[in-house]
Formats: sequence, structure tokens, C-alpha cells
Amino acid sequence: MRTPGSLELDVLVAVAQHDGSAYGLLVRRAVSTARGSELSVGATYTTLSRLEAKGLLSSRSTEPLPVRGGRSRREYRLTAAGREVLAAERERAGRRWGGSPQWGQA
Amino acid sequence: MSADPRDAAVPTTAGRVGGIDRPLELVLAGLAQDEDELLGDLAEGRAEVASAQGGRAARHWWRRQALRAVPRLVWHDLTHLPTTVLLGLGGFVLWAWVASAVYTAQWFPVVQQVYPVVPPTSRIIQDTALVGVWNLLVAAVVGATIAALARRARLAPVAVAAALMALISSGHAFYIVYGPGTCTSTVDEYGCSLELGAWSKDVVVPVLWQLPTMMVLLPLATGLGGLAVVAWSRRRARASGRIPAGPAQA
Repeated sequence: MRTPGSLELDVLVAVAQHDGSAYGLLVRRAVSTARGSELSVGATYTTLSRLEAKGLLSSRSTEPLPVRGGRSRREYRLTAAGREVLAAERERAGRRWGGSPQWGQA
Repeated sequence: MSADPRDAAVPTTAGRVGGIDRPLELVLAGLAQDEDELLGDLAEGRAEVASAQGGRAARHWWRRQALRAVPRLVWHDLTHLPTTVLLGLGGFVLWAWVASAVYTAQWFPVVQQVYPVVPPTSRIIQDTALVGVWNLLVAAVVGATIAALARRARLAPVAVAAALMALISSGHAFYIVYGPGTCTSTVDEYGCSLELGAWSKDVVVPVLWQLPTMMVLLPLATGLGGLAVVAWSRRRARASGRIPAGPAQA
């Protein structure tokens, strides 16, 4: 499987933080905060859908909710493959940054 | 008695639904593979913005997000639904075949496609309008057909066919206004070959008018045909209770 891109990784991390109850707007808010720039609703939707198609996420629909105009939510959780990808990425980041000096610190 | 969430009133602070919101919501519903997820997120986000910043800001937020989502959804459908491109191509071929095959039909008014000399402007306009209206009608029917055949993201294949129509219109909108060419006769046959006749002042205006007009109108007609099917399928889903009864105003 191709390595996920940076947006996909950010979305995976956001889903991991709210595993089981993560849905579009929540993920959008978490990713926007992490990246420091606003992620659009459309980008969140297509990225979640793409990650699900890749088998890194699974989802289920909730009951219709009044706050959504009577529409249901799709809640996501990481699959085993998704957890493996995040673990591998964390290890890779650790190897890359582990031995480097702490730039910018007094 | 417990209230059904589908009938729940949406916060009025979200502001009223504007003229562009309904067609835009229809477009998003036609492009999203899960309408509830996308439109629900937009509705919930709109309600949040409305409670924090007011109805006007919420309306702007919703429109901005909806407009930004459209190209992303089209690209997502193109790359993740293999049938989208095939269906769109099929629709384009169907349109080209039906639109041109009809000229030989008995019931279709005779349209002069080959002019040995520049015809009167009124004749050009008459034939142009006849062929143009026919092409637009076929485009709308083709748009509706491929939207009906698509099982998910109904508007995505319609967008493919519409884009191809716009592309072909840019160079080959109406061969009917091709200007005078040369006529040759051999022992067996007599025929005329024509070229784009924009050098003649009699056909400059129709040519200039037709190319941009059909580049816009053909995709528009195709899209409207597709949207009609999306609206019809949503009405059926609404009647069966699968989507909320009213438009998402939040």
C-alpha cells in the first residue's frame, strides 16, 4: 500500500484521538488546529472516504440527529491496518528526529 | 410523545435558505456518495457558525464550503468510481450519435448542411436555432439517462459528458454555419466541401454567437437533465423517509 500523504496522516491521527466517535466536523476541527490552516468540509469528506476505501478506516452511521437537520453522522474508527500505518509513521518520525539537536532552544 | 429528529426544527439563527442554496445542495447531493454525511456536516457546521457569528456569516460559510467541495467531489468520484468515466463517455457518444443521426430522419425538418454559396442570414439563423435546440434537448435527455444509470454520485458521469460536450463545442459547435467552400463534380457524384466560413460577414455573427453559447448551454442542458433525476430520486427517498423531509436549512 502506498504511504499516506501528510493530510491523510493528520486525518488518521485525528480519528485515532476520537476513535469510534470521530466524524467529519470533529476531524476537520482537529486537523485544522494541528495544521494551523482551515481544512474545508469537502476535503475532510473526500479524505475520510479515501482512507476508508484504502481499508485504514471503518465507519458506521448513527441515528438521525436534530443538530444536523435530521441527518445521520458517519462515525469512523481505525482499522488494524490504520493502526499499523500510524505506528510505522511514528517509528519513522522517531528515527528521523531522534538524534537531531534541539534547534532553537536556549 | 418523542419528537422525530427528522422533523426537528433547525436553529433559526442559521438564517433562511437563499436562492442559490437549494440548487447547490442538489448538486452536492448528486456528487456525494454519502449525502447524509456531507450535507449533515455542512448543516451542523452552519448551525455552529450561526450561533457564534450570526445567520449571515453562517450562510456565507455554508456557500463557501459547498462551492469548494464541488470540484473536490468531482475529482474524488472520477478517481474512485471506475464506472463514472465510462458512463460519461458513453453518454457523450450517445449524445453525438442521437444528435447527428436525426438529420436523416423523416420527421425532422430539413436542415441544409451543405451550402454551395453563402445562404441568407435568416436561413442560417433558422437552421442554427433548429439544430441548437435539438442538440440541447438531446443533451438534457442524455444527462438524465446517465444520471439514472449511475447508482451513486449520479452527477459525476454527467459532469464527464458535459465537459466533453463543452470541449467539442469549442471547435465544432455547429457545422451548419460552415461557410462556402468548393463544389466539385465527377462522373459519379457531385459534392461540396466546406470550411468554417467566418471570413464572410454574413456568418461572423452566428459563429461568434454559437461557439461560446453552445460551450455553455450544452453542459448546462446536460447538467439540468442530471439534476432533474437527482431531484426526482431525492423526492422518492424523502417520501420513503430515507432523507429528511425538508431542505437542510441549518
